Amino acid sequence: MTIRTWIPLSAALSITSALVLSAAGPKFYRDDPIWNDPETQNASSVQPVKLSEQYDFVENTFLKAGDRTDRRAMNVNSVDEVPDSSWFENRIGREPWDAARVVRGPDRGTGPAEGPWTVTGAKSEGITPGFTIRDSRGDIYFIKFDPPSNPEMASGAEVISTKLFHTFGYLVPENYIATLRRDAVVIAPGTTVDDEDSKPRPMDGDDLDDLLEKAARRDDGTFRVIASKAIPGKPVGHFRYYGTRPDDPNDIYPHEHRRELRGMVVFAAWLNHDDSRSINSHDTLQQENGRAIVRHYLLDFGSTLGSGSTKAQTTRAGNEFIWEARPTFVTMLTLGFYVRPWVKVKYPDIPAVGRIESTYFRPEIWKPEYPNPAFANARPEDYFWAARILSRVPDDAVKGAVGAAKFSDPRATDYLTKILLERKTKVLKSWLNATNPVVGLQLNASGTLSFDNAAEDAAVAADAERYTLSWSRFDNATGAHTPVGSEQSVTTKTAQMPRELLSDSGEFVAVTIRAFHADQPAWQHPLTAYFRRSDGWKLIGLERNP
Amino acid sequence: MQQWRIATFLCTVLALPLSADAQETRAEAIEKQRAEKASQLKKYEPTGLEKTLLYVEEKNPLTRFAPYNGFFVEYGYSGKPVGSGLALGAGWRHDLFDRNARLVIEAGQSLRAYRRVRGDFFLPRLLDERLEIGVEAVYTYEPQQDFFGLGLESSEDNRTDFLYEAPSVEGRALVKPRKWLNAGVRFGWTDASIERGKDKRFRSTDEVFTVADAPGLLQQPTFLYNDLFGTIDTRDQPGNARSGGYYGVLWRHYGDSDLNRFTFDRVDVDLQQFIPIFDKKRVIALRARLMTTTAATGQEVPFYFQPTLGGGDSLRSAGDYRYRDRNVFSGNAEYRWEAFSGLDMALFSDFGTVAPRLSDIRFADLLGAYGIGFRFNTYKAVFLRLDVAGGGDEGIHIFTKFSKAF
Repeated sequence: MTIRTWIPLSAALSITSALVLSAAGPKFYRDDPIWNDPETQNASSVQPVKLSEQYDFVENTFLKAGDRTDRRAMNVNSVDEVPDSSWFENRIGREPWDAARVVRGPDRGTGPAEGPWTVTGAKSEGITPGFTIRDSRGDIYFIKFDPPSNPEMASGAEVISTKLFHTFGYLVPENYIATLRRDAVVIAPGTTVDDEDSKPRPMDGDDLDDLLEKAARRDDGTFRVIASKAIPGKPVGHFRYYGTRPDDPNDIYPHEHRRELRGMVVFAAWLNHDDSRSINSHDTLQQENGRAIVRHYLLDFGSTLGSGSTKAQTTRAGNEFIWEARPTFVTMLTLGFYVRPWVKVKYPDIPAVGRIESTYFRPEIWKPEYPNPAFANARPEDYFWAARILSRVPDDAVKGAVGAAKFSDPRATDYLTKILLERKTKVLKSWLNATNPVVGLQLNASGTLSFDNAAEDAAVAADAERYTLSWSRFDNATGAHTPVGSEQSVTTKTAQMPRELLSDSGEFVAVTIRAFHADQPAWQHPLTAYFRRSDGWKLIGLERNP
Repeated sequence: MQQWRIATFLCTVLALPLSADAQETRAEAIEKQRAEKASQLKKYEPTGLEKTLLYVEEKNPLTRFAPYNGFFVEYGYSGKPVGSGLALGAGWRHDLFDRNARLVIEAGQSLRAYRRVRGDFFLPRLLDERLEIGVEAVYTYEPQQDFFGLGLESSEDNRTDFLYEAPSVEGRALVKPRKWLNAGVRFGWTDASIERGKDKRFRSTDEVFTVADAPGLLQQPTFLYNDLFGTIDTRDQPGNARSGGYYGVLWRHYGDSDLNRFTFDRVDVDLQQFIPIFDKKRVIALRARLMTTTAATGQEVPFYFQPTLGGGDSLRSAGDYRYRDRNVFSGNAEYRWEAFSGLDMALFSDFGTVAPRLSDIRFADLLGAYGIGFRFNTYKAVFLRLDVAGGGDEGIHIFTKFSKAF
């Protein structure tokens, strides 16, 4: 082949390569940023999947499940936010919510109707006994109890955490505190209970009494219970914190790379939700616009805050995985004279609260029961995203949520409110400062850029000493940046776009911002914002730690 | 020109499908990915390990072999004595009369040819489950019971064995007025007999010892017995206690029905206390036991009913049944620490002695033991225990047990 042969062939390959690159897509599409994840496929072929609780523990503890590649969350939109989807709905993250709205939570009613409750199913085994009832309206609820050692604890934790997780944007069931009267409960004909050999047999009043024996009983003989309204749709199992469902066409982002699951560690740490694992999730097939879609719920918040569901939370909760080699061997070899520091933490004796505190709590080292691949993959921008949502939860809303637990001991309400607010401050301090906290970028038609600092706004950091800004033209087709002007340094949260960019005809501009504060080294992480010219400038892209 | 034609062709052919596929919106790009996945849907396939664990969780295969109601086969059998070796038990058990009664019929045998056949019928739900009455019939065959002689001076070199065989029938009534309080009474008949031991490694007891060394060696009467007992149990988890205590007292009277030579009384006192430290991550566990027998003048306590000292739950520097006499006093102290939630370790120290009379028990005679233990457990129970003990004159003893120390 001669050189003359090579020239046109090379040209052809070059052009083709360029086309291939451009076919990979521009950086920004005309509909960016999207706020609704287009889950348009019909998922009617999804089949129920069972989860082995033991396997989940083994896999996540010893087999390092999921993809641990250090990469950005895959389901964020172009401005680094999470679009609404079957997993998450933007709530307080996008608009202010007052305390009343937080306290209302997911509730659409007032709980089980007055009148007889008809038991239609029971769970006599396991650590959290309960049963399913149909109320006089025909609504189905799952009934759970408080342990006799800690009246009001598990039900209180369930209600508080349900309301707060709903506020953050997660899908949760309607959970109500209700009163069960033994004489108002009847057993539906044909209801069965599993015997000691897990074989169903007809349920009778003795079985009901046996269940109630394990529950905290009030002085008047009634029981305070959690009534969890049945989630609509066909249950199809649990979701895992890694991988995708192979039978769900809409499930394309590996769960360990979903922002709302990575960022959930922030909320879990705040609320001590150490039971944040697959077994406490619920996938349900629901009909929407004539097609089926799988929605992903978080369930069972009975082991949050100071509650361990059937007893006060263990001191290990949040501090160490069930299995960790190093502290285990150190404890073995030192004949137990090495005492894990969290063992020594003191808790007040308030049965309705259990065990939760804010002094020893360090959000950045908080841990669930065993490793969670999504939590493990969380990057600073994931933490920041969640912390930002948390920062928007007003203090009086926290107080309102705790009040919704209806603790009869005022010490419980006061203590839990205080602890949650103190933990909230710690969480925000850790994770709003974990990366560049610049938010709220706006570029007006005259080229003035303004922005906010989320850490400063949340009062978890002093004002930045200065910000630096580097402007560039941005070629959306090739992804190329062409620097314009020299780096700017400002001490206020406004800056002026270089004159040549303003007079330019280019469609896109980009600006990379760093913040500087002697105490906050992570603020120097670069943040690049992209604006599109359209009747002024519109923010269409944002990358924290690009 | 030919080369340019090829180049143009390549550009056109390669670029066309790309441009035809290009999306103009983010939504279209995402929808395309989902459409691609929709064409490749498949059923979730669990791994082999996951299938196995799911099967275990859902089907609980143990209940297939050892159901609560029905025919069962399981490791060991109720009343299997220490030192009998690996064993299997089988039988049939079932609730009756709408769970108001229960019947258990079982038989078990160990590799060392120990056997037990047992039938038990009882009513566990009387008086709102506060009263249980029952009747039990048992046939016991233990062909290799160890005997070293009576007293502290017994020698390990004199290890012998004997065969103990006893049919017995017993009636019982247990009351449980409170969750932590139990009391009961039992009446029974037993026809124990002693024969030559079957352990070929050792001489039979009757070859080494006389009736003066081992009362009851040659003649064994039929006994009628009755007892009273009471327990206070405040342990947090009886199978793996970390706090609370257990305090039990048993008094039993054995009446010689045939020979009028072996009527005696036995009193057992068992005191256990568990002192939690650091949220129960460390526990000081203490136990003191006194087992004493008394016989009126002219009466004796048969050696095979005398209490013993030694083994994995008493004096761990000695083997099972190493010391035997009419009175045994022992104590155990353990410092337990949690390595992780599935493993506790323990440093322990045991002491104990035996004596013909209660007043002969002296602290100066206490034998000692010390060692280290590994206890694999759940929150509720110890399922495997490995204790390594020394401190005596008989070397290192290693105990592997499927139960707690105390």
